[in-house]
Amino acid sequence: MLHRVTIHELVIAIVVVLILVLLLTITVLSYSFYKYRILYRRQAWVQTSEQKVMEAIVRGEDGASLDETFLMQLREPSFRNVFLGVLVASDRKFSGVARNEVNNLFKIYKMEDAAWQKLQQKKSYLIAGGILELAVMRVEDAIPDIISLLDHPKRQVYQEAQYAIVGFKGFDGLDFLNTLVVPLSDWQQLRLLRSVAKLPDAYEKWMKNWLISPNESVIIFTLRLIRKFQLLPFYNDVVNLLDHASVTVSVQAIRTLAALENVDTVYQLIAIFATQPHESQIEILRTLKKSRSPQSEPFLQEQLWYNPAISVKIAAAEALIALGQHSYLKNIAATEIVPLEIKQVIKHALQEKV
Amino acid sequence: MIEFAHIVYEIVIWLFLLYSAAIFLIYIWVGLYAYGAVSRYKHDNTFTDYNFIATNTDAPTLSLIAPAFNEGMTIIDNVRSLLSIYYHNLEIIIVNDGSRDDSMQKLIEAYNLESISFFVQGNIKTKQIRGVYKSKNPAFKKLIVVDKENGGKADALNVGVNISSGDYIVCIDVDCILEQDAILKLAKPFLEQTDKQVIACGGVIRLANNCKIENGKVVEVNLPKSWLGRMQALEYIRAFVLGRMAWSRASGLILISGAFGAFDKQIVLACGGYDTTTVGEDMELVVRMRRYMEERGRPYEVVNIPDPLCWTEVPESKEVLKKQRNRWMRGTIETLWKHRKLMFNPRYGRLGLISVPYWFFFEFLGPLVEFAGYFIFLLFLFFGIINWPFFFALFALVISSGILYSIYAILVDLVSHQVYSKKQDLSKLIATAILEPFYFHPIVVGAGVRGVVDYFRKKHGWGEMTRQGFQQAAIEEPFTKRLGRQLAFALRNFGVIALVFLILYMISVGVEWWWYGHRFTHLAAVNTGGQLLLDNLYFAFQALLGGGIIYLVLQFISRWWANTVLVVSFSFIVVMHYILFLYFAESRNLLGADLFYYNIAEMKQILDTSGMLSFTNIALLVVLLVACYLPFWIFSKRSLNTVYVGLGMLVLGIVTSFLPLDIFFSSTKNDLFVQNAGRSKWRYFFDSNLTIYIEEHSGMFTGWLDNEVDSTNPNDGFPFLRKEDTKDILGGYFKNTDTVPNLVIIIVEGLGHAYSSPLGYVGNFTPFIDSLAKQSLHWENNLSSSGRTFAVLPTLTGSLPFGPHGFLEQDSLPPHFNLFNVLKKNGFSTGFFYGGDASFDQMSKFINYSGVDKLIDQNAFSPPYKKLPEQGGESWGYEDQAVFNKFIELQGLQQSPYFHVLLTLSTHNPFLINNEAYYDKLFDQRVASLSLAADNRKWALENKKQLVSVLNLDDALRQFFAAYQKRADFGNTLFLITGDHAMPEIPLQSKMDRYHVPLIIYSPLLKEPHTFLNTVSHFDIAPSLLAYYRENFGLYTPSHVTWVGRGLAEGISEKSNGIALMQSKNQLSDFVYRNYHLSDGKLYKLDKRLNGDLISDVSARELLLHRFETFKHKNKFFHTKKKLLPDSVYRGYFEGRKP
Repeated sequence: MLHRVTIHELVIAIVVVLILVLLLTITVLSYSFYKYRILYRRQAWVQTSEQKVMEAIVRGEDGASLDETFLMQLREPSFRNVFLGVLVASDRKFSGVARNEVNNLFKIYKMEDAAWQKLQQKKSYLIAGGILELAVMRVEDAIPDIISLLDHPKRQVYQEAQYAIVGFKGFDGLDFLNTLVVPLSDWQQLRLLRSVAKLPDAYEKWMKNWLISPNESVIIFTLRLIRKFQLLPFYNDVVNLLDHASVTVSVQAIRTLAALENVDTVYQLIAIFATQPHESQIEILRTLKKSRSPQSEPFLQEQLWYNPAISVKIAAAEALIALGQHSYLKNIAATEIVPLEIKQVIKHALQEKV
Repeated sequence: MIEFAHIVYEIVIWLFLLYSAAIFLIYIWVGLYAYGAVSRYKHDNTFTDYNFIATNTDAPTLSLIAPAFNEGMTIIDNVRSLLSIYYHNLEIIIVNDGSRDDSMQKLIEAYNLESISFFVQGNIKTKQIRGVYKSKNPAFKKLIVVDKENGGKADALNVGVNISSGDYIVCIDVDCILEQDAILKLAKPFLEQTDKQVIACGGVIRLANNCKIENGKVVEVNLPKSWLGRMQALEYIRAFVLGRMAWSRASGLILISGAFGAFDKQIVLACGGYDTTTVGEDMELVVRMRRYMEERGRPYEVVNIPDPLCWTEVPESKEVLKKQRNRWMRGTIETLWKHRKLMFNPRYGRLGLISVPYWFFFEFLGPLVEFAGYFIFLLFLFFGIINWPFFFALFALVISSGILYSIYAILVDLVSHQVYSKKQDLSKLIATAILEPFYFHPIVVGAGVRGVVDYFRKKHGWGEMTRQGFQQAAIEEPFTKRLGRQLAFALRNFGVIALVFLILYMISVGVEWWWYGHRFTHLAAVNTGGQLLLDNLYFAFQALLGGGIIYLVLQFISRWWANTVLVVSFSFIVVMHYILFLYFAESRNLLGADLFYYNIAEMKQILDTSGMLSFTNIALLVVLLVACYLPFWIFSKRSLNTVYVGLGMLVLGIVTSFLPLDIFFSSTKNDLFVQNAGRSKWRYFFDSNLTIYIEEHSGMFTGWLDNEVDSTNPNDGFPFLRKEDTKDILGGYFKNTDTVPNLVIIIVEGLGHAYSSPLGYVGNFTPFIDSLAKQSLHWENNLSSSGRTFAVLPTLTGSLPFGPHGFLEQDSLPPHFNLFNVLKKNGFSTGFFYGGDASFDQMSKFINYSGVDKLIDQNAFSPPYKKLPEQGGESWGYEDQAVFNKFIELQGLQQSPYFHVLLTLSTHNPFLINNEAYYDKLFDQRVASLSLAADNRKWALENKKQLVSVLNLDDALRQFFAAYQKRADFGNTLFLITGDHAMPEIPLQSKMDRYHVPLIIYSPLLKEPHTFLNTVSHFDIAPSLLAYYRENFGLYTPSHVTWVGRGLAEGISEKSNGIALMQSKNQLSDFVYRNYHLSDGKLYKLDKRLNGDLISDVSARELLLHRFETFKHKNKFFHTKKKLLPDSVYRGYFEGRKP
């Protein structure tokens, strides 16, 4: 039989919850004030840390000498983290001698230990932070550990490991791409791309493999790499990618061809134009616009007149303008029998004043 | 009714409690989940370097779209601020939405703009573009300004989408101030997408009020100066840092603020852009985009990031704030309505199963529920039914929970992104959190409710435009066309009201059936729900037909009046239906026109004593009135797009008027209560009143009425007059005595055969009466003349006809004979003893007319006599024990004979008795000792309250007889005990059960007991008693009488004329003759225990119909003539002497 709840029991239940809520409120309030104090102190710590960095940079080795008082302060874990954060930020900000001085501070105050400890943590953001700090401090001993973290299940950890390892080893650090299964986000690609400053002699073999990787993001990254370093030997490999099933890959391939342009490029692009998806067609027309090759003129005119897609017509007209065909276009626009749509497209491309 | 009110009260309280608990749990979840989301974001991005994508050519292209309307004062600075945003692949599109100020001119001048040809590639339909402008200055090459005709924010944004060339669009309010890295942070989620496509991304919006702004940048953050502003600052923290972060993490986010959000352009275009018909275009777009992705099975995400990216001014005046919240609420409703298909639709995953239902139940219904709570609180307060400890505990919990949530939000904001970093900011925010529930929250709730009302009453632009169009057209159109159009318009409007009525009425039917199921367990086994539904549906359609015709005619005169009449009538019908079915559930009686035959004082007494006029019930009625009227009021301004709904309702009304309901259900059920439970209470009420109206205005309906009955007067204008020839059946059973015996008639309120006889279908709950019956003359098959008390005195003491609404309801009583005046004429002293108010049901009029010596009613009682317990501050009067004791006290020993009538009261609704615990126990013992069959036991337990009161009466009678036995006159007294009718509150198995009451004549003078099996009625008692006195003691009785009954020897046998039975003061639909019972035109054959079987004996039916009609005619005739017998006969008797 169901127990019928009485109003008295309800009141008791509500009062119990109310007491809990009030206790929680007091707890949250106390914690808020505590946090506020921490944050307030944190601001002071940031200033102290920045001051320390500035002293080190300005005074050189004198400024970077061990400060016992400061060392005592560093025993406070929160302060240690703040100082570490300031050091990492400063490392990014500066270069040359100043950067070396910042690096020196890492060593003087043995910040390495804290970073190492983080690698042993369970929380992914702590591990990622540890990797970043070790990379910034250029602790090469950490490379094996970081490499082992390339296969970490957490995205944040393996991405940071990828970034760190490329930071340490440059292009060689990219060997994880040989086996990479998960997609490489655009964000990560741009970070990695920035970290690769030069190419070793034996880059070709790896990159050729990457260009035929089943991982679409690896191909795109490689194409970006080719563009960055203007790697002409890959021209034909890139041409082969024009027929790739992925539209994104083919668009990137066209963009890369534009960067590697030779005398045949325009013809090749015109030749494949009809078989390409819409996005690739637009990219081809943009490439033709950049190349300003007179050979493409009839093709562009044809697209302007006969291609049914407005965006293609506009891109073609803009390319013709880049080729210096203003008068041709203006004549068309002034001819009465020309369809209104084409006239408008031309006016749009010419950005004609109205 | 009391129980119903109590249950409704409990349901209301529990609904609110459960709703509050649900909100409480959701907020706990939001709080915890958001904390996780915020922490994760913070940890993930502690060292994120955003700057490297700012100049990266591989970064995606973004188009920032800012619609502007009359922003001339600030637009130059605003655009400058936007141009300073640090992102390479960015275009900035300012859409001037037909500003009436000098915005365009200022822009052209400030940024050296020139109009250019522009081919708009996007395909979203928008208002016309007047021109597209670009700057001649290469420094502003990112800037595009579009000048267009005014079409609203959504239309302006659509123009921006059409023009944009970026991969993603960022929509902002032009007066917003963006953080320098806002675009970078917003772009990151799009750049990070891998397996799931990010289709939209929003950031935290903060308040710019009171912040120091220089060169379009916030250089010093301050809390707003006003409390209203601070409360909004707090609200924004709660909404963005907690709510949206939690929903974003749970993949359930459906709102990216219109003030700042980024979208995947391809998806926006594929979805058709912003909806220009809603005021909540931001939410609607996100829902549509998510719906688009769900329908194509594409994995996607809608992301919110906790970084404060955008600063905006919020209203610091209450009026503007109210308008804003009103608009937000309307936007929410529009979106929810447009995408109603998603609701609980598993095809749409979390969107359909969680997000949309959450928005419906908590964002849309939240303010309404809260507002309803305030309203109910005020009602409860007014009626004084608030349990204050409960209220204060709950109130404190609700307020403190709200405060806790706000403080928690401040904490999460503090640990994640320290926007308000000054020392005093934290304390100000906490103070704001404490004050907010008392000041800001009610404003927001009020505005939300107003938004709901405005939405349903169509208080937005196009509604007014429609009306204007109609009037303009009306002037020019020919009459017939105008007539057609006006009719069509009226039908569209009627369609809405009709739908609302149908829904509300059928809800009330649902409640009715639920209540029966709850109240009467045996109804659960009998499936009459279908019949109840259909009968009510029939009635509803017929009401719609009637209402519709009146509406269509009336609206030609005044649309306002037509609306008002229809809305008030339909609200009344719905509210009245609750009253009617509750009345039925409480009294087991169908309420008909008898309602109108009680005067106000009587009505008040009935309501008071039944506890109906309690605060709870009145509160309930008020809530019901409001709840029924509000939907009508809200929707009556709307009209449908089609006339077919309204037309369909009318057609269904016509169909149901001609298609008999009987074809769906056979009426073979014997259980009258079950039959009545399945009937439409409104139809009965309506038919009953209509019949009475027609009868009372017969002149108007002469042509329609059946006048076949012979109207000739059989007896010179006195149809009931006949020579007295009643046989003495009683004399033989009594000992001879020289002294004329006294006569005491005890009429027991509501004493039915079903529970006062071992043969009754409930069981014998009157052990004393039963034991007395075994020593008495006992008629097993005795019928009362009516279903209520109103007829018992005239029938039992005078065998008198009813007149139109009961003999006593006549303005003046026509001269007649009855036991009182005849016995008094023979030297009896007479009296009437009643514990209640004798003027009820006009009894005192009859007593006074009869010249009764003693009229003892409640005014004659005083302590130590006990009143029946009060309900709602009222009591029917004094308990039965008091009446019996008073009688013993007042009736001393005397030489001359006496005749008294005692009418009891305790067994009347609400069946409250003193010493209830004792009789409760007695009841349990009785149930245990009776060894009842399962069915009887069920009946007994279901009607315990009633039966406990019966046991009390029986015990009072036992004590009465015990006391009487000690008196010297006991041995020379005749006691007649009977019931006035059976209790309708105990379910009746057949219609006859209402009238089936015991009849016992006990006296120490009896030679031997005898049980009679012939069927007799109260009409037979007075003739037989007088015959007994006349034949055995030579009493002088009238030679000509107007008795309806033929005496106990004949009863309703063939020699009688049959008797009519009046169920209530307006309902004369039963006639009994021989072993036939004609009821509502249907013929039943009665067995020896008065159980009726429906038969189709045409000749018997004709016979009873004829006799019934004859009776009715005679009944009407005497009433019209206001005479039952010639004056000469009457005067002759009273003025004459015994021959």
